[in-house]
Amino acid sequence: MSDDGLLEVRDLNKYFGGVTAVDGFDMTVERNSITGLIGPNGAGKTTVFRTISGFHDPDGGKVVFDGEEITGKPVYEIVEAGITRTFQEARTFPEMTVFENLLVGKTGHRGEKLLPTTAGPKAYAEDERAAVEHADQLLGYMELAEKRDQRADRLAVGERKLLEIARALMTNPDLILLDEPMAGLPSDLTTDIVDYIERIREERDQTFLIVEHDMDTIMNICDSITVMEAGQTIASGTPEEVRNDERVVEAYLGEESA
Amino acid sequence: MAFDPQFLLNGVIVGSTIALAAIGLTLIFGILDFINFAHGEYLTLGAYAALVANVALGLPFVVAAVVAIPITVALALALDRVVFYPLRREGAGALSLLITSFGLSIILRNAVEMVWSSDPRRFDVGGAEAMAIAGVRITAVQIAIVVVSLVLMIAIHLLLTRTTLGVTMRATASNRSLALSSGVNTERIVTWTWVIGAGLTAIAGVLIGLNTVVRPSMGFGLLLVMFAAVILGGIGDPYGAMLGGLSIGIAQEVSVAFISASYKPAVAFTIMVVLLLWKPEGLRGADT
Amino acid sequence: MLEQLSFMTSVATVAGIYAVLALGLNIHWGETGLLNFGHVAFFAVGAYTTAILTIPSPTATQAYSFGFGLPVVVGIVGGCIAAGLVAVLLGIPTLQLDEEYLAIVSIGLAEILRHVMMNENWLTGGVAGLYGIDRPLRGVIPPEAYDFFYLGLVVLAVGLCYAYSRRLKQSPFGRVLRSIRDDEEASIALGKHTFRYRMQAFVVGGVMAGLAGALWAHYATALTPTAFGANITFLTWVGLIVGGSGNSKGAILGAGLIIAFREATRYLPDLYGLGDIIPTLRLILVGALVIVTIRYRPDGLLPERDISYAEYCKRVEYGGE
Repeated sequence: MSDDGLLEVRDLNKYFGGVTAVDGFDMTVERNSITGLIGPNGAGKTTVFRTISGFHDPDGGKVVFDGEEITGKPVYEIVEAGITRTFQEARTFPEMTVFENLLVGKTGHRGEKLLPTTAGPKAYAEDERAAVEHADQLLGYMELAEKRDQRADRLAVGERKLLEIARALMTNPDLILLDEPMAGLPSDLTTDIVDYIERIREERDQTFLIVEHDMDTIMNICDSITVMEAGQTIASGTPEEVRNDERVVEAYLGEESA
Repeated sequence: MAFDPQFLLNGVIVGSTIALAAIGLTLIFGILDFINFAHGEYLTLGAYAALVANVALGLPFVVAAVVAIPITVALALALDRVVFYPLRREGAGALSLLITSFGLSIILRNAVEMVWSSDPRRFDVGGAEAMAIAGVRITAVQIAIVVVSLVLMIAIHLLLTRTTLGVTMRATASNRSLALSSGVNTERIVTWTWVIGAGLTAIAGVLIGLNTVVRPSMGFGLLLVMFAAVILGGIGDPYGAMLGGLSIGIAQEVSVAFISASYKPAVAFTIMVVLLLWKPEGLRGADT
Repeated sequence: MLEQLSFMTSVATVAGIYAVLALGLNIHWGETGLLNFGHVAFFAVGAYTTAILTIPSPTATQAYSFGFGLPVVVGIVGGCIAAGLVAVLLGIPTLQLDEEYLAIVSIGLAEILRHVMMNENWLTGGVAGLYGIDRPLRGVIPPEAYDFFYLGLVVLAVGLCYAYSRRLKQSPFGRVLRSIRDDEEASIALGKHTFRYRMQAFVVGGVMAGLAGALWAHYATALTPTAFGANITFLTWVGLIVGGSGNSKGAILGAGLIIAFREATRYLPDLYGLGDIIPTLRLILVGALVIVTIRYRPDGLLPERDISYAEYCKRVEYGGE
């Protein structure tokens, strides 16, 4: 390994039909950082996000996580390696309770295999107890304990975002990918989410990669920001450096005038 | 074994009728975003409407066939109002619509059987004498079937490319995430989709009944073949449906040279499954 | 009186067989969201497999070429396994795709199997079918009590499938199935290998339908292709939707109601001189029932219930109180 970044993306390419969505993209996410990936509409952020998390196969390049190459692996192997993503629209399981939503997040659960299930609850009681404890602990941590037995579709939008982050934490990830976590939230809730993310990073030793359209939203929270345009990295560095970078200013100005 | 071009010709005749019905199915699938399992019954209804006009009322066949179109369209629109529209309005998912269409299919099929019994019936029309052209046998009726189908396909092509409505329909149908959700004048497009889809399907029913017989299960029996044509051509793609229908028809008829004729539907099925295994990502539609 | 009892017994037996079918479909649609429109295929494969395994070798006058004369138990197990294999084969091309594709391919497979049943005389006896299928413990149970015994057997099968369905539903496995039904992409994002789960659920439900088919074969003792039409799939669906998909009790209730309805309407022609329109009229009503239920009571008579944490504790026995 050249760097000791937790996640290294090198020369990533992805085409859709004849259209190049990602064109030799590079980025590094340092361990225990909150890193932002920003860019104007159509820059390829979402494609990068989906490729890192295993929802797309790349057409070229490398994704290395924690020293292990995960390029093009299926999502379940990437989650096992330690990367879990969330969705922009906070996709909870609507017909399940908050608590059950969390329990589904448990990985490597014996009770999720058909044979132990057939043998009966005793065959997986230990794993289930661990899952229940973990879920209860996270409910307390994210201040969702009161909503525990409510159906997820009855939660307010902010609560759903928190639930989704809590559910991602259930998988014991090293890196959490957040897809526009502040989108569609009123400003007071945005502050809440930012507080949670910072707290989780500090207290639980997590690394975050946040994909965001709007630069200002994540200026204050990120240690490092990578900016992409037209499928390529055009700048990366601290928020201060990025904000003053000429190409970044141009890219965003171009969008405003369009 | 020398290949008999007769099979190929039969394939073109059958395939062009399937293509017509498949255009309707694919447009409805693409624009309303659900698979209409009652589509085969619209085909049956078209055939019976023409049968009643032709045999019971004694109208000339061509008039009867033309009359069948507005009748089937009116039925399709009425059924949409009563059955599908309330679900759409409530934002019910594609699967609720699909299961509902499954129920509708049972109702229509059995209603037809209740009224006209399950006996096969024929149109009162001449032109059944086969003539030999270039070593293949073909009847005047069969020539008419192919010609009518081709003319209609060209008409559909003009509609889809030369009118605003057609262009909008094509755009909506080919992009399933856009289907219905984007909201501009969608109910108007839905209405036109039923008009065109049910109209074409009614004609397909008449032509198929002309080529073979009219019976209550004729549409349901063709459902699989129509699905295969739609999947082969790509969901929501009317040109794909034409090509898919023709290919499936030809494949089925040519297969008779090699396997028992009772396995014709199995040919369509096999093509469909191979395609699903071979190109699943293409069939899921473009992802972003 | 005795006649009525015997009639009730036969209706209950058929209802029980449909209940097993509905429980299988409930695993598919109710728990996992799999649109299986070819349920009769599993039923037919289960029935024909056990028939072929258990009938005696054919004599010169018979159309079929295979008959292994094995014990009924072997036949039933074989029928279940064969149905499970069909589920795997059907699942491979369809379960990675959107739900609609399974609906299309499964309805097609059921149709093609019917052609196979009608045409492959060497295997299925063709249109004449297979007959003289053995009944379990035929020589042991007194003939006058046999129907009750068989009903008991069917009830046992319903009980087993019900218990297994409950066990699945209440397990973390069932939880993952429901998460797939609710939002498959979110389930994938949590690292679930959803294709594998769908396949397992598909096989479990298929095996149940195969069991129903095997029970039917040894009850009817003769099989013809006409008995395996798409109507079996329809009736099972209606039963499940009316009873309440996602709820095993609802599946059993719905299957019972739909068979009771079918049998009750069987005598209408004699009473009112309606003649032969009853079979079609019945199906029209059944179709209307589906549409009305989806529209006005999509959860069915017995809706699926939310499961609270307290229930979890009770069932997993780690004393969470």
